[in-house]
Amino acid sequence: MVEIAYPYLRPDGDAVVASPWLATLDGEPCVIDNHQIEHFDYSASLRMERHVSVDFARAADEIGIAPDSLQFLCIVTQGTGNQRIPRGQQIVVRQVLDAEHPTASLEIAVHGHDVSRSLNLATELVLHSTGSTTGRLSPKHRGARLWKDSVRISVDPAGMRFPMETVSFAEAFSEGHRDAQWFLDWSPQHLDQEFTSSVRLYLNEDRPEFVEAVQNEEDIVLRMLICSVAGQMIRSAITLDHFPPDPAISTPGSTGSVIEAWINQAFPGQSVGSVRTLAENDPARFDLSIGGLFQGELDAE
Amino acid sequence: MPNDVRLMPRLDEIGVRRLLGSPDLLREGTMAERLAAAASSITHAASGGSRASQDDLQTLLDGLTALAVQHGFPNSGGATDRAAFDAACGAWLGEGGILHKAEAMRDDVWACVACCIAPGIVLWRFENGHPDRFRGGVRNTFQRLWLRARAVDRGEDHEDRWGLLRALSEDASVQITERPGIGADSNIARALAEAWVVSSARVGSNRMEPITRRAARMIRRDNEITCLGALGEQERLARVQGFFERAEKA
Repeated sequence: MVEIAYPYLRPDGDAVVASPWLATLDGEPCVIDNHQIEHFDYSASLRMERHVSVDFARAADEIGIAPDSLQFLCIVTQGTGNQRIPRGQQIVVRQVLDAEHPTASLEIAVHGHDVSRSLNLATELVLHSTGSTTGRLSPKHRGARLWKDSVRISVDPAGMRFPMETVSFAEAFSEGHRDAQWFLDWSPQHLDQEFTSSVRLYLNEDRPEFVEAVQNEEDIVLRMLICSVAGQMIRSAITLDHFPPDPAISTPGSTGSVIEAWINQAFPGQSVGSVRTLAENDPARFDLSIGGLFQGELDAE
Repeated sequence: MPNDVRLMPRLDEIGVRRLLGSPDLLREGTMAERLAAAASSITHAASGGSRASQDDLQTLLDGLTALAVQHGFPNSGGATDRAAFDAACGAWLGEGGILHKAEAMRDDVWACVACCIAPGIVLWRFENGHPDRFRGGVRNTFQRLWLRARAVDRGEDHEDRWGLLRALSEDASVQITERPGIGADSNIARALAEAWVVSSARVGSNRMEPITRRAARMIRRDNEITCLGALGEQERLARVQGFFERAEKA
């Protein structure tokens, strides 16, 4: 995740109170459980509602602007397509807030036929107007991002897990490999693409005992599998000129960002160069570090 | 409206590999033969619309083929013809006859279009037949055109709705659609495209590659702290044009 150093003051999170999103699916209250909505398809009609209130006196003081001249624009951006990187997004709600109207009531109608795989909703406060009284570090440009929260809701039941499926290797690979247990389909040349759409783990259904162990989430099997997967991807990535991704332009959720997060977790505080040296000079210790990466849960985070 | 959604066939990566391993089937087989050969790798959404029929898929193939033929398919057509095909095909796909927006956002749908429905056009458009031109993603032969159209669509009411598709160079189009932070937001993508046209007229299109890359990076960075999508259209365009002017001087 890229941390942004904003070149201006932003309000403390306590100056903004946002209620959770409340959802209604086809007219019935709907629970968003573990960032997923079940029974969602192109015919579904989803309504989402929330309120955002700003303590203008506090926010204005924190960013050095007189409260009576300060205006925020509260926007909701709806994104969809892919699980982590939206393929399309647009602002669907805009409400101007000021000291006299400090609360936004946000309502959006989401049509199922506009949603593919996931629904991303980002609520933001951006600067709309400052008047003439501003401090040296106050935000000055219209559109300056001041506060944000976002939620990603999967509407694809398979989407939030490590992308994985079972196939018969005897049928899939004409060149053999019928006794192999798994195959990781990915390309080190596509680190900028979204992890969940460019990486896929195939389990060999001709090895039913292995598939069953994975499907039953047997801890030892899962840990060995995912550590092998992560090891393969890390080992390849650290040899590449285009890795790690440029933090100024990398995209959270891309394959490169996921691998970089694994490296930071397995080798805290170490540069990619020193991890590469370790892999070359002391492969056993390299594998040992990767072996401590996961707690048996197959998740792409 | 929801029931009008045609649920398109989706081809998984194993199916892509299988078909790429059968070049004769890609070049000379029929659509039905390819769909049959990949049957175990093809799925559809379980609900939410009606499955695309063979007639629907044939209509899609016929539309793509007609456009390709206008530009030299199957046996001729130079780089200029293929670029013109890209613009025309992008506009046609952008108008969304068969492929609905939500289905068109799926990589596996476009993998099926490229591998099963119209692989001959892929091999004409990209003679080296690189696998990325078949599998789903931003480099898929047809998906990239749909993404471009979606990004720079000036709107149904505009007198030159698809003018930016024709005006942009291949490199400029790639800079837009292969950067999700820009391509996903059509307001930003369109501002970049409009500013590119202005800048290109000023400095000459042959100088635009490095300028576009520099400007695109500036826009990405600025959008992290300034919500460009929240600005008015003229204000956003002026800001993006400012980045191109700075990039020209760098």
